[in-house]
Amino acid sequence: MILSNVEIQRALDDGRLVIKPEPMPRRPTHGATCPYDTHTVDLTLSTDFVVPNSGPFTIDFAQPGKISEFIAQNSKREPSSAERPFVLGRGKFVLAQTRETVELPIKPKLKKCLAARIEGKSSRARCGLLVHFTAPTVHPGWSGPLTLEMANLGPADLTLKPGIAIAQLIVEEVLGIPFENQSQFHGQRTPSGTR
Amino acid sequence: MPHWLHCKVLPGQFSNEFVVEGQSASGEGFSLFCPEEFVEFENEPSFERPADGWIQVQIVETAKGVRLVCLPRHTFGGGPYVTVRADAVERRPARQNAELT
Repeated sequence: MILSNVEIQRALDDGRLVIKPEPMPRRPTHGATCPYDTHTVDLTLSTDFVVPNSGPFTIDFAQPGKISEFIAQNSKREPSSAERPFVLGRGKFVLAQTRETVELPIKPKLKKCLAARIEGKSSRARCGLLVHFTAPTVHPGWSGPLTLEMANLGPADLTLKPGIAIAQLIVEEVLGIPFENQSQFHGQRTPSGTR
Repeated sequence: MPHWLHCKVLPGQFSNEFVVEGQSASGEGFSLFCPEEFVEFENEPSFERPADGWIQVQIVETAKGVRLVCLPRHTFGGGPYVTVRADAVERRPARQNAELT
């Protein structure tokens, strides 16, 4: 079952869904854009982009022990800012992240949990922007920012400024509690959290 | 107290993650992108000099000489579960990584 905007906010209040920083305002108000639609909440674009190097090279999926290193080594980070936004050229592919971290904790006592899907926004899609393809699922137990696999299929270069609403999150209820899952890592982070 | 699996650490694509490479009990390599909070290392890793390090894991099952562990993220081409040698896993508190210079 998909959660309405009211139920998304209830889940935020209950701690079944954590979005940091929390999208605001919760209701339409003068002078601010409300990030909530009827059953979605907008997420915004972070500052860092990852641009894959152009080949020619071949990624061999039969070598899973080395693929991560190969991909990381053959890409470069490009930070952006309001003053220096990232420009996604026509036909280009890039990785980015949401500014918000999303957490879907599993609380066994509740006998159900939440999952989510990240989807594009129609206004961006009209310009040819894909914010994900084939990987929209946010699993129960997930905690972290969401990685966006972005591509520009449109006729024009697209200027992507950090902080713009880039995607929308759809939140769904999952019946039952999954077996061993990654939410077990919650609360066991290093004292500093991040270095 | 969390468990830690010995691994090799390299820079990730984003600044908040690392590449982690490990070996299963059968000798097969696996790799994943892992958020920095689940990774520890002695020296700041680079592609030229990968760091010896540890990734936080959850023990799912223990058998003779091996352990089935759950990783914080999915491996490339597989799920989050991998069977590793028991002596590659240690149980201890988290510790701080080396400071970035």
